[in-house]
Amino acid sequence: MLNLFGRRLCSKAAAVPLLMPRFRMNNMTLYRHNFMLNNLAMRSMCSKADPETVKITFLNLRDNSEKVVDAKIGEHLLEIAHSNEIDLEGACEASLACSTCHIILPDEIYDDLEYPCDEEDDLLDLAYGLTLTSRLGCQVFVTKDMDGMTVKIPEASRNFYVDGHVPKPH
Amino acid sequence: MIRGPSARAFLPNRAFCSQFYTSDNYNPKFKDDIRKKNQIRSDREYTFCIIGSGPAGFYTAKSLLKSENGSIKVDILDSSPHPYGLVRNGVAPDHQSMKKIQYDYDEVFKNKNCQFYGNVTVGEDIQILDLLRNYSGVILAYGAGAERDIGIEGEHHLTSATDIINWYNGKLDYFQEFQDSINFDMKDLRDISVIGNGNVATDLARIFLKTKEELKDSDMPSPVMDILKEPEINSVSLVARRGIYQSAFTTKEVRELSKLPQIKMYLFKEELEKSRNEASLLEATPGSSIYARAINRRTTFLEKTCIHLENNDHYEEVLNDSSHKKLFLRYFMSPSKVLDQNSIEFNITELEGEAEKQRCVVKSPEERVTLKSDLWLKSVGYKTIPMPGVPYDADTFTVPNEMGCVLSDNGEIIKGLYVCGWAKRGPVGIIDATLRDSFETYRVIKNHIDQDLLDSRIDSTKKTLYNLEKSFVTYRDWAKVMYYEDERGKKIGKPREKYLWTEDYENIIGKAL
Repeated sequence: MLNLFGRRLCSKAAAVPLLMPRFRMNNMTLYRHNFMLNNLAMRSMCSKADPETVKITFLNLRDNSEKVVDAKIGEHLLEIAHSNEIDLEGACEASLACSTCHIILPDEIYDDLEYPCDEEDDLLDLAYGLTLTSRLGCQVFVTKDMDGMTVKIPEASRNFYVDGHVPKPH
Repeated sequence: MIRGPSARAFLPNRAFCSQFYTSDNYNPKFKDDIRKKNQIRSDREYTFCIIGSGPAGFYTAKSLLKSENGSIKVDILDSSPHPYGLVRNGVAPDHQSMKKIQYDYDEVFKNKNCQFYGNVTVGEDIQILDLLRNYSGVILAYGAGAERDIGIEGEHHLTSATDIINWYNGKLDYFQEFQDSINFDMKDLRDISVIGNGNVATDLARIFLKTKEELKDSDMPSPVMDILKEPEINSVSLVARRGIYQSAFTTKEVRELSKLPQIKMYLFKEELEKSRNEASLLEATPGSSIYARAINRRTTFLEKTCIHLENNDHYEEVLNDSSHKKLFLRYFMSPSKVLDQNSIEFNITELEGEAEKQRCVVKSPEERVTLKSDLWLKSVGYKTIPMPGVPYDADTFTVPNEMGCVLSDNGEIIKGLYVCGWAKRGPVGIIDATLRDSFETYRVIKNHIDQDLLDSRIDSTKKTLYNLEKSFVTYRDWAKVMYYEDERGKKIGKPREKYLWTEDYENIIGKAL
């Protein structure tokens, strides 16, 4: 819970710098900016100041590369990976027919999500390197609670580079 | 919040999981070392030739083309004038969501460093040695194109699942050939049986049991649909040698079948009880192996969903009930002799051995059952067709390899020759498995490039393919055919209406094939 509280505080703090430059602008931009701010204010009244995007880190276990992206709330993780050029396959284009977008979620996020449907579970049965918090990227939709989470993309093959042996011609 | 039993309860425990790559077992110490190792950074130029344009070839091409400075070129050859391999000719026509992977392929083909050469048969039009001489590396991705044999008397009476699948998927120039080759009349079919119970068998069952209406969103060619949907199919039986726990299909496929209206699934109570031996129960105990979760979920699903048949009379009663269509799952039956086109003699089998290594054995060969059916299909797996000049392991029906490097007959690695997909690991596994398998082959290639073990080649294509006496199909040519297929499909509300003859292709492309 503390964690959640911390995140809420952060998102409010992030709104402050937006207000600051207002005084340094000419009339036109001021007008535009005011309009934007009004718009923002309207939205915040309706949706309790939900940020539209959250920060999500993708950690690719194939090469241990990390990338932090802005993830739109409501989009699924495969969509977000693709719009940010993250190496996550999605062979069936999110139609729940393959398990190529297998990802690993942090425990607390996994626990807070609805359970996967039977069809998703059927596909997870076949996923490589299944973990206790595995899901299909195309079935996990971003919520504001996911701000700051790290999503892991599993290692691609089971038996390579384990002992560092690579076959070579002589 | 109150929740039901956790889905995580089905999973093996954490300690077990950590034998594999999981969320917590990567070693951060190697982070910098491994980072970016997956991208090729050589300044030299390489050209690779991939034989076969199915999923295995495609995923290898995709990985190779991701090299940072565009120093890698890829030529993809296929014996058919069209790309996509099994995605076009194997994936069931009603699984359009799986066929969506084609769009992903198209992106790769549009890459300027990737060229498609269809209608080129390696071994006939061009020899593998020519390719090896002129390319930096050759990647074999031609899959497993032939049906395996059961090895019993009278097997020629059986119809091969591959043939019927190719036919209903509109394999080029195959429509008439299939009709001429079959020894039954499609419109007389009522009860169909399949030997084997893998995902191919469930595909067949689904295609036969679905109504014409239920198949209207598929891309099954219209002439095929008219013939295939003429008979009113009453039942499909899938006959397997081992028990329920050893079923080869995945839960996804049977769940899909169970959701079709008008279809009920049946199991024999006796066979279910026989399946539950100690070793099988262990196989389904979460945590005992990586497959346990899947086996457990599938078996639970079958037990719950299928209606249990008490005895043969009950079976007869159900079979003659015309109010619905039936899918019978039969177990512990090993075919011993094909008596004629409609009847096969089976031995009753029993399981033997420890968990995960259980084999079926015939303990009393005298005990035989004869099953009758209007059509017997054989779906017992595939084997790779040997390619002239390429080593072949006749025991496993694959290309002998170490992590994707092809091994010669005396066990040495052949420079520049790689293999991926079904030709590498045998005809098992779904698309995800092929993806990861291709990635393994790619990483070996990448490692060889990094260590300068491969020759740099630039004008490979000019040296080999442009000298062919036969005309080949490029991706641009194919895109035209695809456009017309899509247009034809749109008119009748289908994803596409496939062309069935080479002449159609010739007319559209404007060259003789």
